Amino acid sequence: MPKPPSPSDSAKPAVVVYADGPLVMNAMIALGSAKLHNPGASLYLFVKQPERWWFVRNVKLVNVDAAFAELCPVDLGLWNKWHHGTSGHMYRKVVAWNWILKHAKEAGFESCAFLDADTLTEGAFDRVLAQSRQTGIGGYWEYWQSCHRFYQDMPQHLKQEWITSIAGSSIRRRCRPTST
Amino acid sequence: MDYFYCGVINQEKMQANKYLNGGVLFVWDTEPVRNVIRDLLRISVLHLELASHTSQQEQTLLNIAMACRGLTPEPLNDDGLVQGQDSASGVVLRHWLANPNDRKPSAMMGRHRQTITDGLATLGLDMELCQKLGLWY
Repeated sequence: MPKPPSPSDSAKPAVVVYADGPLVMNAMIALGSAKLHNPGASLYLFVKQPERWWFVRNVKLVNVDAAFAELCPVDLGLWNKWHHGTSGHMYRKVVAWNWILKHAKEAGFESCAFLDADTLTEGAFDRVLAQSRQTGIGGYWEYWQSCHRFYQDMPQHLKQEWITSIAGSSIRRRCRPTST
Repeated sequence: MDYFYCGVINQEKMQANKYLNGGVLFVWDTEPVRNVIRDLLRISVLHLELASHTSQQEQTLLNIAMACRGLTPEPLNDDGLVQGQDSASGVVLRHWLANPNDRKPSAMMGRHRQTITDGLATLGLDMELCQKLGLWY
């Protein structure tokens, strides 16, 4: 069993937010309050037009679509057609997460707090980060039964795609009907 | 998807359902974590219909990717992550999930003026400047 980490191990996380539209103002509040309670944190804001926010201090601004292009060759026009609105927002968050992890070593941080823009930090992240260290990830968790229900609701042709392309044998093993 | 997301979200229901969207994902830079996060991007690019069919994509697919890869996250249900104005001791982070009115900076300012003012100052910002720039709402 690994030794539990001390709070100092996680004292300098990257705090990362993706935002667009009016939520960029919320992102400033999210990042500012996070910095207030986690002074050693590096702040990253992923936006579509970083040049508009040149006056913001202590935040590394990243063009989210340029980050996307760096991660994988993608036809952004086609991608946007499928992922417009909320879908585009959600998956751009995923772009931000991937980009940050890709650059974590060179940037010198081991841990990250991926914040939604509509958050306000009121305390230090040390304890929750330390608690998440053993599994590597903390938050966003559901019973597997819930995921099974999600799979059940999926149209048949997508179920097949899911099984053959994404989950492989793992989903067949795990996706058994449950009594709950 | 109501049963999936516990209907109208509140802290009590989320805890009863062992589901938490605290508005934050804490991660460590490890290979298993990178793989799971990469899965989500891969799905969004290679499986367009499947990816756009999913509601609450990044959360649902993250949970499924974690389950498929055998990664069980720390749930952090009792660790200071609260919804909106829920009262609790030792609050670390508030999240205004699906609450478009209360999450407006002007509404948040009424209850959290000091934190917001001091936090914005760390970025060289203040409310008046943000109002002048048309960012405040």
